[in-house]
Amino acid sequence: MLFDLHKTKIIGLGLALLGILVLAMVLPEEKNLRVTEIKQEHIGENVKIIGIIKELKIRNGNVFFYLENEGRIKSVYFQPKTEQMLLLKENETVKATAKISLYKNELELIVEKVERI
Amino acid sequence: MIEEISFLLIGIIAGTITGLIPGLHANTIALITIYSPLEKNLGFALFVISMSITHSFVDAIPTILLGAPSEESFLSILPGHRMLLQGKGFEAIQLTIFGGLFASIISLILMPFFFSFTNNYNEILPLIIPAILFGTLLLLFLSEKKKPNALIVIFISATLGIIALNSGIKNPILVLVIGFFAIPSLLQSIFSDTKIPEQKKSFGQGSSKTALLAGFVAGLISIFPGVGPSQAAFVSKKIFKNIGKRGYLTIIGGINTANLLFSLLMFFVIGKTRTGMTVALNSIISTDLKIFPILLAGAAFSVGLAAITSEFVAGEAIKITKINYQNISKGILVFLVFIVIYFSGVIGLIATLSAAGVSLFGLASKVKRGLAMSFLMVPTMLFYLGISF
Repeated sequence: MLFDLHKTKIIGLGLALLGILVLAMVLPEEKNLRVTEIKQEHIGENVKIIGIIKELKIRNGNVFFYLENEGRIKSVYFQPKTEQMLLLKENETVKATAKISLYKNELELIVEKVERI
Repeated sequence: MIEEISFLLIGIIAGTITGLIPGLHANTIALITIYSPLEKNLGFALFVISMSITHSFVDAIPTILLGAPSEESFLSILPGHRMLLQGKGFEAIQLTIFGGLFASIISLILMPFFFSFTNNYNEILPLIIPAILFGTLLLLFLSEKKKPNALIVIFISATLGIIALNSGIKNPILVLVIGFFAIPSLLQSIFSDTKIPEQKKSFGQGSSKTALLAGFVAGLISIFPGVGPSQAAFVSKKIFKNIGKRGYLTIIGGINTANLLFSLLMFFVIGKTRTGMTVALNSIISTDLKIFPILLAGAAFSVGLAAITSEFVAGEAIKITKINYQNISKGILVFLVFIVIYFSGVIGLIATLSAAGVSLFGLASKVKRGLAMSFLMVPTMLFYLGISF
């Protein structure tokens, strides 16, 4: 079957739009939540959450702290890279991208990224 | 979502720039990104994918218009140059874009099939490869009128390939491709009074059957280590003789891009990195199957947008042929020599000059230049037969 080459860009545009559509469906949704809004039903979800770093401890390259904003939640950042480590300071306000999990029957944030605000 | 789309768009811009630089390989670019100081996350992985895919589309432009190839697109020099001399350089580029776009769509459809194929026949199929390569080379040889000269080209090209691939020369394929295919074409342009006619921005037709073949072949080569897009396109043309130069350009464009998509599948299914793109991804992300659909959707977006971008850039780039083509060829020749010295040193330059010598001997003795492909085919055959040096 022969195909008119000037239609290539139409097919290209169609594929690009399909790509965006699929991306919108498969990209994990990141909710913006407050510490006090985190419940058991959010376990496994990816969230963005703003808070102040408290009780920061570093053990074997892993960083443990509490994220405080009205409430507080235990947070762990496994093996952060140097540039991320520099942002992790006591009393620093950060926006954390994290996954909510349950550890020893307590809600916890598995932090994947922090940004300075 | 906006962050991911932004990374994809930046990748498309970067791939357009790198694709326009003659002689630069997508693998080199992908590997350089590993050492960049940027944060290695999902967005960065999408950037690498979209840049590699766009590069695979855009590198047809310098290859066809300037005769300056990359490792992947060098086979399109010859049919592309013939069309350039007819004022159809834009159409030649358009055929590679059509091939890339359609073969990618077909690849996305064929992925489930190749997934099960890989699991069931992974161990048997590599046994067929040496026979296919040997059969193709034999057919090529038998079709030559001047057999002693053809034998000399095959023998020296193969020997050069074996030596270069096993001697520790950096980027051996790049140096040989420049020697075998680029330098002779450039010298011809410089020393002949070839006039490049004004290029028309005309659109012809492409065969979707050929694009289907490209998608299928790209799937097959993703299973076999050691067989690259160039060998596969070359063998396909020899097996399917009636595809002509237009079909050949479609196949080359199709295999180059679809190969990247299949390499993504192989990376996630069997953990093998068969392209520079997946080697770079290996250092950025884990092979978590949850990420695969995200990367595939990003790849589909990049293919679509890269096809549009390449067509636009090609439309602008054909204006360059209005400039003195001999001067451009001289400039490209100097640039390629610089690229060889920079990436592969003086030893690389010696290999390039040897390859150019063989190719010029072939041209002077009226032997098809395709025989120089022995530099890749024979070492691949030996690899599958378990013979190493």
